[in-house]
Amino acid sequence: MFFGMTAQEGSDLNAHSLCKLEEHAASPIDYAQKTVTLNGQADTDNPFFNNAIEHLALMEGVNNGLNDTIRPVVVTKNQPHLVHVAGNKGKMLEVLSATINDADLTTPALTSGIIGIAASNQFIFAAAKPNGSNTFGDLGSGIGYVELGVIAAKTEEPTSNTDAQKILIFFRQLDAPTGLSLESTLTRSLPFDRTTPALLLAGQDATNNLTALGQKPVLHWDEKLSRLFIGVSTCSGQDATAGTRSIAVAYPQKGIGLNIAPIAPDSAFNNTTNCPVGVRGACTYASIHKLAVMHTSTALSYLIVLGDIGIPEQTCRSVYALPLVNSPDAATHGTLAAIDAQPEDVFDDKNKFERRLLTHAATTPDQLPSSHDAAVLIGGKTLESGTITTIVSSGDSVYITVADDKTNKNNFSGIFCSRAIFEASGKIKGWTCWQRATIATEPAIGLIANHDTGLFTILSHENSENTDIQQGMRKTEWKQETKEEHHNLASLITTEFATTPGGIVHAQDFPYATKGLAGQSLFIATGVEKVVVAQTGTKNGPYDQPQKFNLQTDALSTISGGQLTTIGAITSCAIATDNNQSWLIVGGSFGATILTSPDNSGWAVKNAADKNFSAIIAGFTFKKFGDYRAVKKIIADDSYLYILTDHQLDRLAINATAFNNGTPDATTITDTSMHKCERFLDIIVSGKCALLATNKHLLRTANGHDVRAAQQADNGWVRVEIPESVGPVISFECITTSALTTDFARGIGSTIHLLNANYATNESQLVRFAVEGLGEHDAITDATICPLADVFKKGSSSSLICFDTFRNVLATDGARYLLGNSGNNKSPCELRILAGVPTVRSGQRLLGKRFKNVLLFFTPTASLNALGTISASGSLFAAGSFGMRIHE
Amino acid sequence: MITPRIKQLIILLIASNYFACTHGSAIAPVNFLQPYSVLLRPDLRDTCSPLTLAFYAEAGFSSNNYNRHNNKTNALHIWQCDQNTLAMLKGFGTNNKISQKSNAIAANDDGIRGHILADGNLRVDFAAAFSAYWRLGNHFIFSAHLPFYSMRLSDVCYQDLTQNILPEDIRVKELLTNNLATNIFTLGQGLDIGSWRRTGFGDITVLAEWAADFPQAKPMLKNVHVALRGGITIPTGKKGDEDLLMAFPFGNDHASSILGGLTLDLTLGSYLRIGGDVQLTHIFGSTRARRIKTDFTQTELFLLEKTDSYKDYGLTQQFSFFGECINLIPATSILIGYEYRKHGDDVLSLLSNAFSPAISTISEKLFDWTTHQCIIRANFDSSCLLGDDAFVTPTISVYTRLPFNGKRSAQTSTIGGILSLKF
Repeated sequence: MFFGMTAQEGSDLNAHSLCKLEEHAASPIDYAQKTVTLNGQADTDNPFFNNAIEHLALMEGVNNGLNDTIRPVVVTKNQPHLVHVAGNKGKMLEVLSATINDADLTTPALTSGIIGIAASNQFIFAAAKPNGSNTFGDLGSGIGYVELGVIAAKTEEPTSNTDAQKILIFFRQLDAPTGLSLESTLTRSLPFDRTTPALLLAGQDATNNLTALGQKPVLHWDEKLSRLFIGVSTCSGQDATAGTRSIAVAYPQKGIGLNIAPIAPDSAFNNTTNCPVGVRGACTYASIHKLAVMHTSTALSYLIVLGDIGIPEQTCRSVYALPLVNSPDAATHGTLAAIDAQPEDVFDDKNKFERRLLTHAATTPDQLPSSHDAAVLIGGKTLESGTITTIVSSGDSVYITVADDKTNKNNFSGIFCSRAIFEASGKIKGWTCWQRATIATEPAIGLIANHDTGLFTILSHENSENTDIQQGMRKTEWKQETKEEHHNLASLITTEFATTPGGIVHAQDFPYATKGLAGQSLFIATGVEKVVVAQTGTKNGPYDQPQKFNLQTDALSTISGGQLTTIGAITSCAIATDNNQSWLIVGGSFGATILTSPDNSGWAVKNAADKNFSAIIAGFTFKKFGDYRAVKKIIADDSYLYILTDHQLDRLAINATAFNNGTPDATTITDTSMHKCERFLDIIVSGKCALLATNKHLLRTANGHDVRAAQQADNGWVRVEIPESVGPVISFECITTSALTTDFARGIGSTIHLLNANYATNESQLVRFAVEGLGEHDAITDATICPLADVFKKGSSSSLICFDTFRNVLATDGARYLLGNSGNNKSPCELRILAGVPTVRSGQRLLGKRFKNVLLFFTPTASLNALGTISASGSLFAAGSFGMRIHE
Repeated sequence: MITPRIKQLIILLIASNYFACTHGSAIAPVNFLQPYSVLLRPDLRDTCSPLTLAFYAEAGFSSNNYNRHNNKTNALHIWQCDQNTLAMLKGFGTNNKISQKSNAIAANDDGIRGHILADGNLRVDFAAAFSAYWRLGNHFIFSAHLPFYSMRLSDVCYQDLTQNILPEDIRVKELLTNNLATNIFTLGQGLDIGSWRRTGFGDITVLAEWAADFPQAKPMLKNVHVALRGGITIPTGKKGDEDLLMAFPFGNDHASSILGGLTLDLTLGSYLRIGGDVQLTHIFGSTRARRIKTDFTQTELFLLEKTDSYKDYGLTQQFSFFGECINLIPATSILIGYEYRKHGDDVLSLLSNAFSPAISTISEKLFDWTTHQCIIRANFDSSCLLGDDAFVTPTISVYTRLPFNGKRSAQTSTIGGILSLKF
């Protein structure tokens, strides 16, 4: 990674203004050494030495001239009219510089300053102010177009050796309107100012020029789309029928030069549209702060936008995902797709899936994405506090860094993540709520997601005077000895289960949105006859936002003895509530127990807020109920408790008196004999819909049935065919807007990941289904649960990823795919991560061998029983016979 | 000093053995009675009888079993010290009932879960054999041998090492190991893991032998005896039973074989004879339904899949050395011998594509095995009592075979007797 720095006055940090830090390197590589080879001249003063870095971009890809595959592109403070690119040539650092002229089409002159850059693997794009003006947007402002290339030239003394040809590097501004290489005095940038048609929405009045253009344009180049997205905060003209677009799309065209097109045509905007990147009305602001492009695992492309309609200061809390036309042959490629456009699959001549296209551009207001649309507003809502400083799109997730006022008691700083939820066609239909992605809570200014390792690098200390760059940077890692921020949670829990046979058998996170917890979040680990409850956080003050990890020393409750000793290894737990009282219910090998006070009541929900959980349950004991054996899973949903054992599924009503006598009324909904299987493996329930995995089939609630009222005699189950099934489903992962599994069939529905695995054949794969949300009056139909559009061969659905061997746990966050397996005779216990993401995509399922080991060391026979996320901190955890590890 | 003629004979014999390949009696890693063994067969050198009949009978009195590390162990541990019932369920098709059972159990192998310690007593209770020798001229002997065996596996018991703590443990017990025999019988196409007794004939062996004495006029070396033999086995033996544990074939499992051997013994003075014997057996490959591994981690006793396969047998080598004290007491002799057998690796080829040949070939029971045993034999020749013109001259021998080492083999210590009648 490269760091460009600007030091405070008087600091000597500028002597190291540009440096590169490689993975595992002890110290950064200095690119700001005093002399370098500059434009072919050896031992010339380095333009980066003692200079502040104003803009930094990276040029990626192989280039014969400079050895490095990733080269920094830099604009310095003292030479704002120059663009530099640096790289190693041989063993020497070489810097190339190019001047940028403005966009005066008749008499181009040096720009007065470059205020934004982006780089493709061959070109550099620079937002340039006009000569003689310090305002971007005035006539003469434009987008400079610079090419880095090589030519082969014969040496002056030709030899028989053809290798003696000399490689000449050229780095020059091209004339953007024509794409030609002209004399420097004739070379022009492409005009981009307040009169640019791509930004204007034409009105009735001819004088509809923009009244202002922001001074921080955002340039983002997307290599896959081959498009440059230029975002800029704008203010529309005086004409009420006119308007403005805040994003334009540019693309270099060979022999023609740089073209600029509007993100959507004028016809798509009217006075009622709510598109975050364009608006009609007099003197109306549209602001853009950050841009990114998401290429989803369903092979579609979205423009990720931080900004909105409104003044810049008020638009830093909304992030939107806008569908893009991704049909390279279409003139509208890279512009906004119609919101109702349906994807079209393209297959090669062997019927293998090649790509998925959205070809229909938005041309009418109805087709324009609205900021109120669940598919568009990332995180489901605008943040209530804090300022988003960075957006990173990775896989199916968008990460944001949020800086908040440190004096705010409910400080909301940190790294957050929202995942896309897909409909069956592969289009995004919604987003998960913002959830913490790491435990870091300091205001971050940069975020790098390393897909090879699954680790994050977070850059903070924006105003640090520390000259050691590594001290301003934090890298996450897997740990047992957790840092202060996790209050030793992993080691505390590991210690609790150190002497328990089998260690941690089950671990589950209960986010603050869990009903019955009154805004608290819990992490519960269970083992043989023991339950450890950690209160990991409380609701973030008045905000309905992810809370901060806040484990208090006395918030760790260890419960053992009593009737817990009668149920053996505890395999499942749930929080059940009737909205007045809540209960913790656990089930194990030999029964199920409920945590109650001596008078059989639970804890009062209204008293639970802002209290330590250990204090809430003081005096509570576990009491056995029912006659269960081999409890596999307990789920509380609505006012029902579902208990899945190896052989039957029971439903119990939750109310204050249900557990009084130890024998609550239970209705057996189904059992294994009805499905001619030997064992139930897993279940998820949401409202009237349930998905039940057996060792033979995957079942769902039958059309028109309701699991809340189901009776055994109804036999209200039907099979769900798993594409290219390799065996049973052994676990579910639900991606829902609320982050609660029990909402998978509510609201807009969800995406479900199934771990389809077979012990016997040593295979496993990840299969995805799209679930439609069901209202109270909606009936379950065949369309409720459908395979997602993951296709390998034309005509049949497939898995998303085939793993190389059997895996028994899976966790994903949209960008990282972690999976693991317990030790199994000669195959050791290991946790793996898919390296080289983001290329998880429909039609590329054979990624199994690209998973590589996370550096965690387990004993070969260890069991890896749980993998997931601690919602309060956003940290991944792994738990099993070895105890617990946390990624922080 | 060995004469040039003897040297030629030795070279000829060694060369012939290179082409004639090997094996003793059977392909099972068991020290079955081998009636034509040089350490047990009647001594035909000093007789002109055209016909000699020999009757063998022996009883086993203890079993000696050795694992791959040459350590003494229980008979059911010669391949693995424990049996893995979870691995037993692996390697079958997605919708196979065995896979469904595995996925219902859904338990990982933590080193003890699903592991079974199997114990049993495998021995040859009784063995008998009948041999007939016809002398043709001074140097040629034709013989035929038919053995008979009674073998049993008894006192079979299983100890489930699975704990009773975690849900996986309980599932393994409930769904698999608590009813191990029934589950294996059901899933394993009739595999019975209980005790058994089997009785039957072994393969008939027909041999042709050329033998000659070369008297030596030396102070110590009085005679050199050379015998060269070759023959075939006829697959009359009882086949191995794939549905029983370690129910080895009594012969070559319905495969023919050819064998060749050379015996060389030296008479030293009047009372001592020493010698050695080499025998190589080549068994022709055979096709039949066999139990195969479907996963690398499977153990040999609990193999559920039975499928047609072709087995290419390894070479069996047998080396014997002996010293015999003769005529120290008139008409008697005492022989002390050592016999070593080694069977090379077998190779299995599946006749279908349903299972991985790479897995089925990596099986402990296809690997080489060895036996080492000591044989002590005492003879009494009644010809001194009956005179040379007696119609029949009986010779009585008693012997014991005492295994003392080996690899992947189940051996039985025996005691027996031989009655040979020379007509």
